[in-house]
Amino acid sequence: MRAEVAEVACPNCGVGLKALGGGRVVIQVCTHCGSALDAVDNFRLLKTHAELPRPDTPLKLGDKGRIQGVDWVVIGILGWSEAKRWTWTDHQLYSPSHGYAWLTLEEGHLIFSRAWRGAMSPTWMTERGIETAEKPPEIAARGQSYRYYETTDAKVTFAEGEFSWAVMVGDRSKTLSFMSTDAMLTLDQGPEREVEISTYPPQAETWASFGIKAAAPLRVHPLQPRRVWRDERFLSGLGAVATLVATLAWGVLQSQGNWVEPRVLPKAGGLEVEAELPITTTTGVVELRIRTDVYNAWAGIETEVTDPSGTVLFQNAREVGYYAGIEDGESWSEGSQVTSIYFRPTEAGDYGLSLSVPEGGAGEGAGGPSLSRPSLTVYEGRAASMWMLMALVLSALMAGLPLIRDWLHNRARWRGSDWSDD
Amino acid sequence: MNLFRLVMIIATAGTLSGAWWLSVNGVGGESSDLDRSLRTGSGGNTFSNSSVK
Repeated sequence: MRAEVAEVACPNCGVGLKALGGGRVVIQVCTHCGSALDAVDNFRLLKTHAELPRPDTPLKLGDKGRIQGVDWVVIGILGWSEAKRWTWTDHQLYSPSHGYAWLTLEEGHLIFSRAWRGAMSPTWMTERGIETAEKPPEIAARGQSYRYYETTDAKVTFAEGEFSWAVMVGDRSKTLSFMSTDAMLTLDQGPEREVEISTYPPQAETWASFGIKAAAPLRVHPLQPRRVWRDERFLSGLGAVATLVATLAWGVLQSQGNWVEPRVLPKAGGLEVEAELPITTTTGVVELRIRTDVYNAWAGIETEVTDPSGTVLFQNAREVGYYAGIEDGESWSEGSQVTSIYFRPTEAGDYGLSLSVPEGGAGEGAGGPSLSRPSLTVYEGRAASMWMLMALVLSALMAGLPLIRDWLHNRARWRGSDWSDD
Repeated sequence: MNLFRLVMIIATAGTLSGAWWLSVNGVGGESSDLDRSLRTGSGGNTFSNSSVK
């Protein structure tokens, strides 16, 4: 433990360095010339790293702020880099009553970390253990489960101020991270086996306590809690009510329509059907349901409908086919013996229907129709219930809004994990 | 109740009412293959890519 001092002079450049960090500081790095001084050996000069690129942080040594109800002062700043692609800045914090902590600035997010000396199961995890695991390993601690997130191999690129551990520019650190719903355990794979727990403090409040106004970060941080919209629960409840209403309405619409008894004319024979359809309403559509008895066969059915004045309303050609059998001990079937044609009547009155089966065949062949005379069922006033089905889907999406947002947020949180099932 | 909630209630009620009206009146409920003749419409058995033996 070093002696209590208020200020020391750098033995390399002579600049006065404030001592803010309490009795457990072991290294002090000169803010002017980058010299590392041994704080437990009368500030002996250890090494000098001049003109290192300064990390991009608005915090500086001596800044004071409040996190989790505790007043902290920034005593040291460390720049980190992983494979020159990923950079972040650690700020060592000191509180006379609570000791040491870290405030990390990563892509605009502030993360608060402290040493964790509580119980864990398993008590330790190694990189080898991660590599040989078949599924992401988990650690139980604080009544939560922490799932493996990533392995980090980082290098110190910048240092200034005081530190409670012997750190130098160029030092490397390999850590394993495990994440729960709201915290991260970081296992330092160095000789001292340190464990830290990181949480996501309220960002605006934390920045404000340091007297800094910072812009909101763009990307989602793994520890970032999902932001709940003010009216999210209301929208979800409204969606649930709408889903119930739409489901009931869809059920009613499905059964809407009146049976119409066609007057089948006797002049047709064979597979042909001639009929008059007494339609009484123009609301909704008319369904012509044609039922056949094709079996392992197909048939081409031609239909022509005329309106009450005798004008052809439409012509239609449909193919029905039904195939079934047993393959490898399992029965299968495909297609349908029934087809429905929907049309909109232009006026109430007797519509003419002409139905014939000019083509067809057994199996895949075209040897001629292989079926009995088709039967006909007619309904008028049928609803186009697809609209209500679409409203039902929209309502269900609104009802599930919190769950959908939870899922998207969790996916964004775990996107940076380096776990691979391969 | 704030304006947003009021708007959402009206929008939801409007959507359900609109869906009901469109459904009951059969809007868009006609078959899409009307006015199709058998000669142009049928190419024989279209189940040829199935598991038919």
